[in-house]
Amino acid sequence: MSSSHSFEKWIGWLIIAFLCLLPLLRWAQITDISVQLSSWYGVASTIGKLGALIGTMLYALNFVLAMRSRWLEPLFGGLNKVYIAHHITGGLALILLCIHPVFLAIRYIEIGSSASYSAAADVLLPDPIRSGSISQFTESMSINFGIIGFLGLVVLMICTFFIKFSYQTWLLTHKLLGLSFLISGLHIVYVWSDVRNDLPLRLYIVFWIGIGLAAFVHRSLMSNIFVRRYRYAVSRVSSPVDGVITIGFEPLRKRLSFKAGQFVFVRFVSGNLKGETHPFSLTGKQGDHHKELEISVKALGDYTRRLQNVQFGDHALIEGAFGRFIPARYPGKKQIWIAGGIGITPFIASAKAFSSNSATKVTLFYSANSATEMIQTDLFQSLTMSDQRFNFESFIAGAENGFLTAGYILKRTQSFEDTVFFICGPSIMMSAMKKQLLASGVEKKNIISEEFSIS
Amino acid sequence: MKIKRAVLITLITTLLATLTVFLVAILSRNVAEEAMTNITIGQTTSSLEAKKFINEISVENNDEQSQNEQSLGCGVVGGKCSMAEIAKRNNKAECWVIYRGEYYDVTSYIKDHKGGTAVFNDSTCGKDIQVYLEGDASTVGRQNQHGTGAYKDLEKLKVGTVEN
Repeated sequence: MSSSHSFEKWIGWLIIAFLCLLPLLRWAQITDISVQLSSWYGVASTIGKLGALIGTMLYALNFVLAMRSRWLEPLFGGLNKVYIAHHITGGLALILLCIHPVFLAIRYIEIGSSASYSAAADVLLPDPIRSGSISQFTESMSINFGIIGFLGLVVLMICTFFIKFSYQTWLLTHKLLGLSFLISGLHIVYVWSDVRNDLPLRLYIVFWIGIGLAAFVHRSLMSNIFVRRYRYAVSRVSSPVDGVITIGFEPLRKRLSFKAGQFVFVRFVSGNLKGETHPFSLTGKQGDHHKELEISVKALGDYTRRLQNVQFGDHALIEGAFGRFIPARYPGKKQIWIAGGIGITPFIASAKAFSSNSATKVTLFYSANSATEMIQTDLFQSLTMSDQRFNFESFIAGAENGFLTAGYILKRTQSFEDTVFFICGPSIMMSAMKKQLLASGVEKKNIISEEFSIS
Repeated sequence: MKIKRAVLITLITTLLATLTVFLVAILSRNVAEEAMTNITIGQTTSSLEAKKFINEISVENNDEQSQNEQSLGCGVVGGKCSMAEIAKRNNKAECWVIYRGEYYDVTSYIKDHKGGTAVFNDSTCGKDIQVYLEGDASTVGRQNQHGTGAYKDLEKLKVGTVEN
């Protein structure tokens, strides 16, 4: 969840840019750039080499971003933004690593002989394995590792970007990405290149390959050892409305602490829901006196449909809490909370945590397709009755009323001045609402949204 | 999402570029083989001449350079060649190397190199390879000492001496 203060979310990107820039600076230092740029061969070689350097760095950092670590959140403005960065760096790494072999091949074009075209094709073909000595073997294998690693990356990224797999298959493709990265790492370390021939450059790249692999092992292979999870048992199950289930969890040992608006990753380890990990907003009360955790889940996808059959006593491992979609981070501000459908869940916890002593003034707009889909309306109505600083407005979207719009909200609240907006709901609704708010003159930094959802 | 579209475009472009490279390589190889056959039929038996003929076909767009080479005796067996001219042959498609004052055209040998083809790049082609061939303590990564067979192979590829 979350987003936040305007500069905060750029820190992570600046760090990524800096880490990618460092090897380029070293490469520029050891290379006669004027010679490189004096011919097509040199220019294409340069593009190919730089593509490999930056692509490798992004590939390694991509694994770090997938660690799901809480320390990454402030660098990007929330775990959802970390995952967006993970998605973008993965895509950019693939693009740059595609550039690498293509430009190393097409640099021969200018020469224009049949030998040059053969040399271009050779770049893209596996090298015959030579067994004269270990060094000869590693030399030819290093090229083959590059080809295998690259093809592995391409296939797995196609799976990630363009094919919708079941959770388990998706998980497997992500685990194989680590193997592909390891093979690519062997290529980088052993192939005859600037990285191998320059010690500082080699140390830097090897260090980040190591960090990438360590991050991969931490999250994907040995998370049971390295990742802290809390064991809970299902203590109550109820269905407030049709298709929505509310699950209470009691801690079996230590309990996790959270702030209203945050979310956790839940993995059931008993019952018939074993194996999959999914994020859910916490809807219970925060604070030391409340040891129970609560989530409310709507049956939208395969897993959330199966979740409706959860049983009392089922055990779950819970990781978190994550997210910066926390209204309490903006005390004293006028706040407008906008929820669409099951996007109400983080606001349930925030409403429960709403303090009558707070100077914050909140108006909650809750949009759903029908009144029967709405949950916890009693909570919001009673809060409205008991506290003047809290207002609740329900909105039934459909043919009669259309959709909830920024114009409607402005009409009801009269002013957007000095207001922070929290939006959670279907991605189309959030995207449309953000555009409308920006068009209404609301600053981007005052729009906090939750785009992260896996059903 | 924009990145998804960019990835798709890159993948398609990469695929097309790869196919084009292979296609051009296959077509040009056929042309070269045909030229070799014609030369053999015409009783022009020297492979050096055949190679020269193929080079003439392939460097049509580089007449100026060829003329320059001839006037300097560069590339002619026994002829002298300047460092600057040798430095131009800095890639796998045309790889000349310098060793102990002599220069060698190793282009045809690259595929047979026991240590792989990757070592023939702009760090070795067009440059003095003594340190790579003989190896010394400053050689990065490992010693690159070669056996007597390597020196014999190299001797066969000698073109001439380096002009000071």
